[in-house]
Order: sequence, then structure tokens, then C-alpha cells
Amino acid sequence: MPTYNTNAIVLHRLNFSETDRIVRLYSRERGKIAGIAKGARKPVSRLAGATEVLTYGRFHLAEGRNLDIISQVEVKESFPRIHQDLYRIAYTTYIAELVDKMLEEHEPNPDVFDLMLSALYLTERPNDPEKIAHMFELQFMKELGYEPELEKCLRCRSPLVADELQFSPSLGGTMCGACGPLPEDAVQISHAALEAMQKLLITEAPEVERMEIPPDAMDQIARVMRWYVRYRSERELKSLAFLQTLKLGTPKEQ
Amino acid sequence: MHYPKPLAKLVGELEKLPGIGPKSAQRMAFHILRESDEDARLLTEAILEVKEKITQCVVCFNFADKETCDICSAEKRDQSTICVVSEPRDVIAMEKTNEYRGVYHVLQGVISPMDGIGPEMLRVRELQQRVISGEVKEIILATNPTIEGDTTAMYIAGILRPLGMKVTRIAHGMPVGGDLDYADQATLIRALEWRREI
Ligand SMILES: [Zn+2]
Ligand SMILES: [Zn+2]
Repeated sequence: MPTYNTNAIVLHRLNFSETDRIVRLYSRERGKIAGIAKGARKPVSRLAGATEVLTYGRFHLAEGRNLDIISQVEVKESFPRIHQDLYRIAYTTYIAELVDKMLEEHEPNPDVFDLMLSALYLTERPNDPEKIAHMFELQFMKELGYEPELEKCLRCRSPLVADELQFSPSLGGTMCGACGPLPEDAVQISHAALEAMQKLLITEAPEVERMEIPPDAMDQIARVMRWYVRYRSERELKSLAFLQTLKLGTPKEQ
Repeated sequence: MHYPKPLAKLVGELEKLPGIGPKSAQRMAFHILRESDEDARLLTEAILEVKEKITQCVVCFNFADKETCDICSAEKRDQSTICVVSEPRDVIAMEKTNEYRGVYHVLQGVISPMDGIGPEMLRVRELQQRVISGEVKEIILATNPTIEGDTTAMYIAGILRPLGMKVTRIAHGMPVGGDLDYADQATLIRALEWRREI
């Protein structure tokens, strides 16, 4: 059996038998991979912690008939702070689900990998996890060729200076409120939210850390991106439901 | 594989069991075929009886053969301490220790956002009710140290703590008999954090 090494992040994990786990990895070199981690459900197994969701490591695999076999992992980062905060878990799980659902197996994209890894490291640091998730969403969409128009009106092509602005997922971006007809899926968006989205779309890590987004602009970005991602992925991501539950009713824990 | 029909049927049914592959199913089927009629009858009866008589305890949602399970109805158990676990098999594991004197609450799963399993699909509301209506002093969260177990524990702690409850979580760290050199980063960080004076 040919073997290989790859840097990867654990996207999803499923208990397979009494002792084994099936693990979906996102690797820098080979894209999405499904592997089996034998014995990973035993607490003394070295693979137990290493195949936990969101773990980043160097994975040693052997090519198998259906699933590749994970033989060893050198954990590079297990993101302990993410694991200690409900909101951090919820937003990074959402990021993992996006990558898991929107990418095909064995299609490497090192830029997306680096983006995901950087979003995880940023969430591990004392940043607002929601801000980082929106940065990821926007830049991920861009990598997939779905960059939304945030600079010019989609209809009249002039800069977005009108008082009232609208964002339409199906048209793929922003338009002046007066430049009708408005598509059915258009939602109003404030200048503050739009500016934040413009920045999040292009900004590198250190600057994102310094960015401040007012709460009502953040709520608008969340709504716009939820519809946009849903439109592009043609599904409602499962992890969004839990985020909603958290936002509605749980006191923030520290 | 060319089995006579009834044998193929048995092998097929056994294969549906967790962790049973075709080889094990075949071995079990041949064993059943060789054993006495009496033994085979006892096995089928046991299976049918389990399906008929085992239900959920109305208090803790553990398996029970009457309305409330043996643990909930035992007088010597401390009703003011509830250990929250995800599955009935976790109750069995805890009971094996012979150390715990409180009662349980079985969530029947863990929160797993990516799989679409939220708190509303577990017995979380029932736990809240139990806490509000009873005289509970301490909640011990005994979910697994996995991302789903962590999520579940933090979520429940978040909704119970405002009710004035002592909420604890079982310690996680090095497994007994484990090797420090073999432990991963996450385990060691937790082991350090949850350390205690000796
Ligand atoms: Zn316009
Ligand atoms: Zn009970």
C-alpha cells in the first residue's frame, strides 16, 4: 500500500465501530480526504485526540481501497481555547462544515487551506469568533469564484453612495435601493455593514484583528451572508441552527 | 456465500448488529445452529422480552423496566446530586465504580451542530424541569472530552448556572496507565489545568 504524508485539518469525525473512527480531513496537498483511524475510540490511543474535529496536524496515511488508513499524526495545534468556548466552537464548526460541504474530495486548494487555518488561529486568539467567521465566509466565497459585488451597484454600475442599499444573493451583490426592480431576495444593508464586508473580503490577518464592527452591522452581515452562502451552496448548513440557538438564548460564557 | 435460506437470513440479521462483520456473523450463526434448542429459545425470548419490557425512566431517561428506574427509586440514593451523561451505557460505566451515590440524567445524545443535533433534540428541557422543581444542589456534567461533549457540557452549564446551582464537570486528563510521552497536546493542557495538590 502506498503511503503519504500531508498537512491537514480534521473536518468531521464519525464513530465507525467499537474502536474505529471515520475521519474527513482537509489537506493542503490533496484536498478533502476520507480516512479511517483504527483504535481511535480507545482513550489510550494516540489517535484519539489527534482525530478530534478542528485538530491541525501532519497526517501519515496509507492508501486503502475505499478509505485511506491514518497510521500516525503529529499534532501541530489542537486549539484548546476554541474548545473552551461555546461561541468559538459554534463558529469554527460552521467554518469546517462550509469546507466539508462545498468542496469535492481530492481537489486541493492551498489558498483555501491556508485561509481556514488562519481563521482557526485567529479564533484561538482573543478575537470575536463571529467576525473571523464572516471574514472566512467572504474570502472562501471569493476563492470559489463567488465573490460578491460590494463596490459598485449591480444595476447602474456607479459607486454605492445612495442612502438606501440592498444586497441580493441571487444577483450576487449590492445595488442602490432606487435601482429597481428589486429582486425578491434583496435585503437592506447599511453603509457600516457594507464597509465592514469590503474590508473583511480583502484584509489580511493582523488587520482583521484590529477591526471593530458595530453590533448592528454585524447582525446585518450575518443575515446577508447566511442568505448568500445558502444561495451558493444550495442548502442550509446544519451548524447554523445551533448558532441561532446560542444567539437566542444562552448567556455568553467566559 | 451459499447458505440455505434460513441460515442466510440469520447471518443477514446478525450482520446488522454494531461491530459485527460477515465473518463474525457467520461464526455466530453456526454457533446458534449447533447449540441446543433450549439455548436458542432462551436467546430469542431474551431479545423479545427486552423489546417488550424495557422502557425509559420517566425521571432520568435511563433504561427501566418500570415507570422509574431502580436508581431513581432507590431510597439510599442522594436525589440532590445529578450526574448528567449522554447515553445509558455511561450510567453503567459510572455505576461500576461503586463510588457515586447520586442520581443520573441521560441526555440521549450530545449536541453536534455539524450533524444538525441541537439541544432541543436531547433531554435538556427535562433536565431544566427537574432542576427547577426538585431540590438539586449539584449537577455533575460527565460528557466525553470531545468537541461534542464539551459543547454539551458548556451549553448545559450556561442554562443551569443562573438557577443557582453548583455545576461541576468530571476531570479529564491522563488515562490511568497512560504514558505522558504518548499524550497529545489537548490532553496535557487539560491535565495541567485540572491538576490538584497532593
Ligand atoms: Zn444603482
Ligand atoms: Zn431513573
